Amino acid sequence: MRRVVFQKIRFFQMFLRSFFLQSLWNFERGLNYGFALALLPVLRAVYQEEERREALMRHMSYFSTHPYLASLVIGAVARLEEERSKETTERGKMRKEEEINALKIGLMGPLAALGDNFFWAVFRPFCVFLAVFAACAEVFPTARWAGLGAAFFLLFYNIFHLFIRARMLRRGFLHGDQAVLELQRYRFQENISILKTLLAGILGVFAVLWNSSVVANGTALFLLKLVFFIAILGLYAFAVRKRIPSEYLVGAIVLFAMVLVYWPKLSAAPPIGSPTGG
Amino acid sequence: MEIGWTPVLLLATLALDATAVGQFGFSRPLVAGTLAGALAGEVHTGFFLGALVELIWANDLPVGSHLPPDLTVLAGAAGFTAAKWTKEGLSEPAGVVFFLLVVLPVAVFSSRAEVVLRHWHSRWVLWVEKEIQKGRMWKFEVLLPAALFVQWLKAALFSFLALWVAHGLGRFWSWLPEEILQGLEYAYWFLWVLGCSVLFELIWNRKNAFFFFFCMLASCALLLFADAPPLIIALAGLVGVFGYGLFQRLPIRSGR
Repeated sequence: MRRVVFQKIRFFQMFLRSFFLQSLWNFERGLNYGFALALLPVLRAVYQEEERREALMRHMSYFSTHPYLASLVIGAVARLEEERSKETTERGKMRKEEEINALKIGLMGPLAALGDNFFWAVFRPFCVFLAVFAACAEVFPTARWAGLGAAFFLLFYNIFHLFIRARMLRRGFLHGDQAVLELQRYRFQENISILKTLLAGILGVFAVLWNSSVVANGTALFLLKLVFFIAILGLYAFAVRKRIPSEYLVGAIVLFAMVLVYWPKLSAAPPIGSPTGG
Repeated sequence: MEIGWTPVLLLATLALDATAVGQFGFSRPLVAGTLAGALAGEVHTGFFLGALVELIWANDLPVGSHLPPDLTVLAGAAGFTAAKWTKEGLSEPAGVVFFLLVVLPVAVFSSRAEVVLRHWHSRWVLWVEKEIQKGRMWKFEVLLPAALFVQWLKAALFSFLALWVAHGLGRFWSWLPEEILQGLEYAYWFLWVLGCSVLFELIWNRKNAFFFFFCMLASCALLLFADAPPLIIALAGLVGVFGYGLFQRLPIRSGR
């Protein structure tokens, strides 16, 4: 009973420490410090002073992956470190160390690619856009309550991501070197595709809502504005695809808007050299 | 008009969430902008500025060593000052674009400073390794609060700088000609289209493009022929879109 309680406390400590994974992000070793920090409760529990020092040094090697999915590796390595501590021969310990290294190196690349593609590129923009959509659709009673959109984003995003982090840590600890099989259960690629389709649909509805303010002035004006919106959308999407940095695009758009305002005045001015033009 | 230390402290604390602690989303422009707007007494301005920043930089991902501009500082400082000046009579769209432009260089500079900080981290990690080898294990954990404090300090410095620049230049908006303010209002609409196009580029494929146009036409029909209010169109859109998503997930659909 006591052992189970201690294990749960260690598990909770690892979970909390995994939030500091990127605290000392560096170009030479990536997230090595954060990874070792998260493992420390387990290393303290299973090793004596000298072995703990060696284990900590082993985990200061290069490690870089997605911060949410890293929990799977932390859990799996914690399990393997526990197993290593029970090995009685030097040969057995060496073999476990190789297993740990292979697991870290083998998982960090795929997890980084999956995490970046799912969480950063799709899930986060999806949650943000849902919040913006709700605010624009006047779901909140008055303009003063638009801030609820941010609360909605935080709630929706964190419930899911904290669940994934905790579950990955637990499953990694349960499965050890077989942790990679856990990844298949989540069907990340399939979910990315579905979320993108949902986002496309919501974006379509948003385009209508965003331009709907001119409907009162006539259907033709609304349709014209919508067509203009789509044309500009296509043009920008092309520029974005060409990897033009957003900072430059913002500057170019503001300049273009200024030209739009000043153009009628410039074209109405008398030509240079004429009696009234100077 | 005073700025005070509260927004600096707020933004510096929120910025820690970006890489150092948790990544819970508190450092995202949507949240930072909204909180800064609330602090200035105009939540609506802060929220929409944050949303705009969030959408425009949605595809600029912190993958590997690449760093986008410091969006927490950008949305927070611009949101705070835009909200303040909106209360003084500046129109919301013009204020949002004006302060976005003013704070953007500081945000870019802040992300360059992050690169320098990461080089420092390399040295600190090497130092702590040597200390562990010497048997001084306690220094390993002491490094964490020290590193967090330095990151907080860096964020506070750039938040202060951004707010100071925005506040200083913000005083001149009333001197701007009417045409410039009108141009900024036009730019606001164009920037929202840019935000949508960034999302569109993220989701782009033939099937999604078809679904986008289908949902747009269906919403148009609801608006023009049924004269439905925005809330009804939004709810109908969400039900339709999520229904389609659910249909995609059904085992019978995907052959499982």
